[in-house]
Amino acid sequence: MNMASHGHTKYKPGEIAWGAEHHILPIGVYVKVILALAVLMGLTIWAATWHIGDFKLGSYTVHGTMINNVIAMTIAVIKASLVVLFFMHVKFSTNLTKFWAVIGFVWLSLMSFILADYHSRPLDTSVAEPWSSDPGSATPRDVGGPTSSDLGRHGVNVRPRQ
Amino acid sequence: MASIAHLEEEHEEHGHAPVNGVMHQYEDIDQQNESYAVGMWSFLVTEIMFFGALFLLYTFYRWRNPESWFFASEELNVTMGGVNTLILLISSFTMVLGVHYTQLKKRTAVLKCLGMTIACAFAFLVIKYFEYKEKFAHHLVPGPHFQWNGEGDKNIAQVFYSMYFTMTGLHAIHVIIGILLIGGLAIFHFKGKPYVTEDYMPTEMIALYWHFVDLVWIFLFPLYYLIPK
Repeated sequence: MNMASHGHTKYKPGEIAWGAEHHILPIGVYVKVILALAVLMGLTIWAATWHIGDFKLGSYTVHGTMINNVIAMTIAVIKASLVVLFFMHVKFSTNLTKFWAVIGFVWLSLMSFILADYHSRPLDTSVAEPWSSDPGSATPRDVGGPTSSDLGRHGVNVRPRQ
Repeated sequence: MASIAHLEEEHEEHGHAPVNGVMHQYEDIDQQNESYAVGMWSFLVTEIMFFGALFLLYTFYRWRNPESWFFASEELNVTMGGVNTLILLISSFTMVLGVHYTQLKKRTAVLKCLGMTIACAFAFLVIKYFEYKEKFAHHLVPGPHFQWNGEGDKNIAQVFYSMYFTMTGLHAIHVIIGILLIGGLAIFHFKGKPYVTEDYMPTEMIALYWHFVDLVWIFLFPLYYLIPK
């Protein structure tokens, strides 16, 4: 049979890079990525020391530390992207591999919507009965949390059973 | 059916032995490599979900207690954390070079790269050991002996250190597993086993795992060590 028609002899295993593109990346690419990662690491340590004052954005007060956090997380995401794209070769892989590589992070971002629930629920304890009176009901978020009277012998958060 | 006859003929020719590195169930080397990569990534997705839940918990506690969280984080050693970040980044670099030299079939260079990666991983764990030791000495381990003399809420500080030990500890376990995997891989390379020297994908898969360990630390470092005041 004609082996070439099946692609068996077109590339030897060692000569193939990640399906979509048939080449081996030059070391220079990896060197550039590691240098960029080191610079970004230095930048994130430096940026954490910036003192950014609070300021008003319309009626909303933006805390300076929030800007610090956004900078730190942006740098972390850039670093992570460099690692995923170049070190993990996702940039050069097939679409199916790219899909799998992305789906985990999509899941993470979906999961973060749980926080919207915590953010939007009222913190007023009077809105619902405490959970202990009706274990099957939804619990307002600060009911059942530790209060100073709930602290155990060692100051560990212990909620008394009722 | 000419095509079935053709397949049978092919099957007899090849048997179950890989032809030119391609196992008989695959069309070609591209499909084989893709299935390797997709399998490994689906495992990494479960890992992302595993760590993701902890990151969510972290976000929630820190959001609720930003000030106590900052005071608690002041006890962490930024220098040690920074050096560890650099060590892990370098280990990712040496690991990817290991894959590169496997593709080029330069066995000695592969062994050097894997050796350096393992050395970096050990260096990371040694520094982590000294960090943990300091926390134990300062009674910052959650539990009966936890003591908090700094500013902020003591209980929140305890939550902070619970999360710190859970997340960095889980990460450290991944580093230890990484050392075992890379060590095993290095032994196969050293013995010149064809399934790692002729096919670069096993090396690439272990590299993917190692880069993931690096990825987690890229987020852990700013979240624990670099909390702004």
